[in-house]
Amino acid sequence: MRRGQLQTLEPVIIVIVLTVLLLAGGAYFLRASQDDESRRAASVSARDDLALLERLSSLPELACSGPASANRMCVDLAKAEAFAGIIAGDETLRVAYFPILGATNLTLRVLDIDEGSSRAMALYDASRNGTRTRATRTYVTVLDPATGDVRFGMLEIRRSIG
Amino acid sequence: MTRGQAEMIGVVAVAVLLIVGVLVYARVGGDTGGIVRSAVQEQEAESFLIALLPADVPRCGTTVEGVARACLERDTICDSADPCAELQRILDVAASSTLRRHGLRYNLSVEGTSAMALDDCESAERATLLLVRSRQEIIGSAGMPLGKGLSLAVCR
Repeated sequence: MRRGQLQTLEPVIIVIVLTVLLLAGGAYFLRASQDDESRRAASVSARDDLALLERLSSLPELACSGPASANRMCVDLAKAEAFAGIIAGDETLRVAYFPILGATNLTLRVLDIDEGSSRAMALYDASRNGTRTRATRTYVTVLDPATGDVRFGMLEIRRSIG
Repeated sequence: MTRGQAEMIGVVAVAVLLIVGVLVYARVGGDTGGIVRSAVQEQEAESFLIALLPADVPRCGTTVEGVARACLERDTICDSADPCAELQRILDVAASSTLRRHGLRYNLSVEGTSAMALDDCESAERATLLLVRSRQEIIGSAGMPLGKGLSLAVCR
């Protein structure tokens, strides 16, 4: 190629290179915005799940009664066992709780500090089948009304995200 | 102005525009998700300590806070067993059944005692990211704060 031809093609090459750079930049920006948006949505959803967990421990169906009710994050073990049993066996009731609890899986795990073991109790399960789930947790005191023992427990909400 | 100078100014202008674009993006697209995430983790750590302290330890006839208090005040509980050894066992059990199970690294300890459950959080040898740190004061047998607390740091 002669020097004259190269000089003629120079503006065209510059335009092509700039266009490629702009397209690459645009694609990167779009992708980054989408990633950021989905991260933000997941975080906001986690905050909502946390608020739901706090509401859950104050539901009359689960919350401690009597002097222990002064503790905001206290779950009554007998109530929780009854709630889990009723919900599991009654589809209509599960549908009735759907507006409050949504498409989630709720579990109460109670730790036995003496034995070092823990017991998980499925409180409610209306989760959708998905390959990826996100869990949000809060810790609660669990009152066993039969013995009066207060145990260390954890409420976990699991939601399908894809 | 020669053609070479004009092209140089053009290149500089494009570079300035790109830098301004990146700065604007970084500022507008700030990580609000991160703020929310850290609020969620903070709540999780705080609720861990609040729920653990009043939990009963039936074999000692007291609560976790009672065991911590006995350790701090050199008291005797748990059938004359060393309350600090019992406290160590409780911290290990509580942390390993929850935090470790969820893949988190942690430092759970009672200030002023040797009782601590460690899982490489804030380790100098490993690059860990401190997510949150929380603390709950331990109340003494006289009903006054002991100035020592149950402390939890959670890392990733």
